[in-house]
Amino acid sequence: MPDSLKFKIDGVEHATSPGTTVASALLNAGVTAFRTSVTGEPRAPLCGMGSCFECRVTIDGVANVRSCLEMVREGMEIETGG
Amino acid sequence: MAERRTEILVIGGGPAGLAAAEAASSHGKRVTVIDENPQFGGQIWRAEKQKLSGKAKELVDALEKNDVELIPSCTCVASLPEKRILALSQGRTFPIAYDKVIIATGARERFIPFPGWTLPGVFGAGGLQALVKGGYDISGKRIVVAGTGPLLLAVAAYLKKKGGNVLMIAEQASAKNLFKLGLATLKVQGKFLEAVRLRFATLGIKYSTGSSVTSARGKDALEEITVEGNGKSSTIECDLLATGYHLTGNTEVAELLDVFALEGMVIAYDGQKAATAEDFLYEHEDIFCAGELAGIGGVEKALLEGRRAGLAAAGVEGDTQEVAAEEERLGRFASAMNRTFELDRDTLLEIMTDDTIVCRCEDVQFGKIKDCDNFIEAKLQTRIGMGSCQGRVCGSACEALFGWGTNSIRPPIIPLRVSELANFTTEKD
Repeated sequence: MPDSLKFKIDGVEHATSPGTTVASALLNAGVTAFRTSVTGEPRAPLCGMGSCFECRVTIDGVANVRSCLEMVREGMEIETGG
Repeated sequence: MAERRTEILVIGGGPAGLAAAEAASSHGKRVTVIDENPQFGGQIWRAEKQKLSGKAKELVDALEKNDVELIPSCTCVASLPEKRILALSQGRTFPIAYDKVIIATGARERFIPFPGWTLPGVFGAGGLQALVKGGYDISGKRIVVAGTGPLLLAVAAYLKKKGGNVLMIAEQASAKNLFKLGLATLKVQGKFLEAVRLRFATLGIKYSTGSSVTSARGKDALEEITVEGNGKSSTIECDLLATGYHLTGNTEVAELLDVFALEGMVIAYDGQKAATAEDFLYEHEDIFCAGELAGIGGVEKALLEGRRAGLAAAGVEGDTQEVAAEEERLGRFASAMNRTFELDRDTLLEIMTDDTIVCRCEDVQFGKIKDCDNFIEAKLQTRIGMGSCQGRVCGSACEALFGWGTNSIRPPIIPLRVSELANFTTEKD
């Protein structure tokens, strides 16, 4: 499937194919720190199914969204590391 | 948002929930199914890039034909009076009123902490599989699959098929126990062939029994792990580690509805009348549970239980002796499987160090809780289990490590924004 969906990660343009979750798109883009833990550690997805809350990012201005439960949409803006 | 009303509400759209909805809607009942994921099918039928196939597609098609209301990306966050739940979807909360509710919330992976498990690149086994199905490209990545449970082989086979360079499967269960389980598969139709198929699909991958990952290391992400077992220790360089320790039921919704669950088995409701899982599944007049949350046992068991719950909720006499016999066979196999993959507490504790993080939300270390007597005490002293995941990860870990029970679910069962609650109204219109 062609990478027809354009979206941004921390201001940088990326593209992916429809049906990709935000978590998977971030991993494909090489993101390691999805969020920063309370003691400052980088964290990335663990469970992939909405229970661990480690994959939280900011999507279109909404903070703490579980990226594994969201699909990438055209024009989406994702912020990581928060 | 206006209150919704349905005759039968099914919470969870995996095999059990879909089978329940199909059975009830085929008998003329108005059914609503909600699922937290963007797509139905549950974890086992999670679609690649959103394309359902096989039995999942068949069931969803049947539901659409029966005019079942399907609400994806919708989570039950609280229980309301007068047989209603509070649901969250698309940033809004709204009540759903029901006559009967079927809880089919499935299971999640059980995670056991070890030094370094919080590093990016360490995933759940099913977790990594879900992310690959969601579009994560793992081609050429060096992967180790570790932990315990029947999922490990299936995950390794899948990752290999998707181009992952699977270096090794480290299974904590002993070769002796696995052999016994192999014998048990002979007694259940399909299970033996499934086991053989998985073994063939993973040929060429080193399979170590009695082995555990004892640490993961890396600067900003995973770089190498140590695997120990059978008196040997080895260091393996890898990009990804997929690690899971069998499954644990998602019992939160059941607990919200005052259905008390223990070790994944629903044993009582209303805090008063004790009932066996079986009584509860089929005999309570308003609330039914089906599938993995009422005991881990796999997709066939979930489908059968879902169908039974759906028929019972619809008030239909169902099920022949043959079904009951099949259920018993599957139940026996489930017990054999769960015994094989029972965790050995001493092995788990040996791996822990004082600075190993147990609660990933609040970064609570093992050393801070190891002398506590129970989960509540640990919680009061350290905030363990009080972060975003509300103990979904550290709760089952503490149960495995210390034998602590963690039944302390209270609404809302996922963190809510004020804006999501602000639109909520109890008005009926």
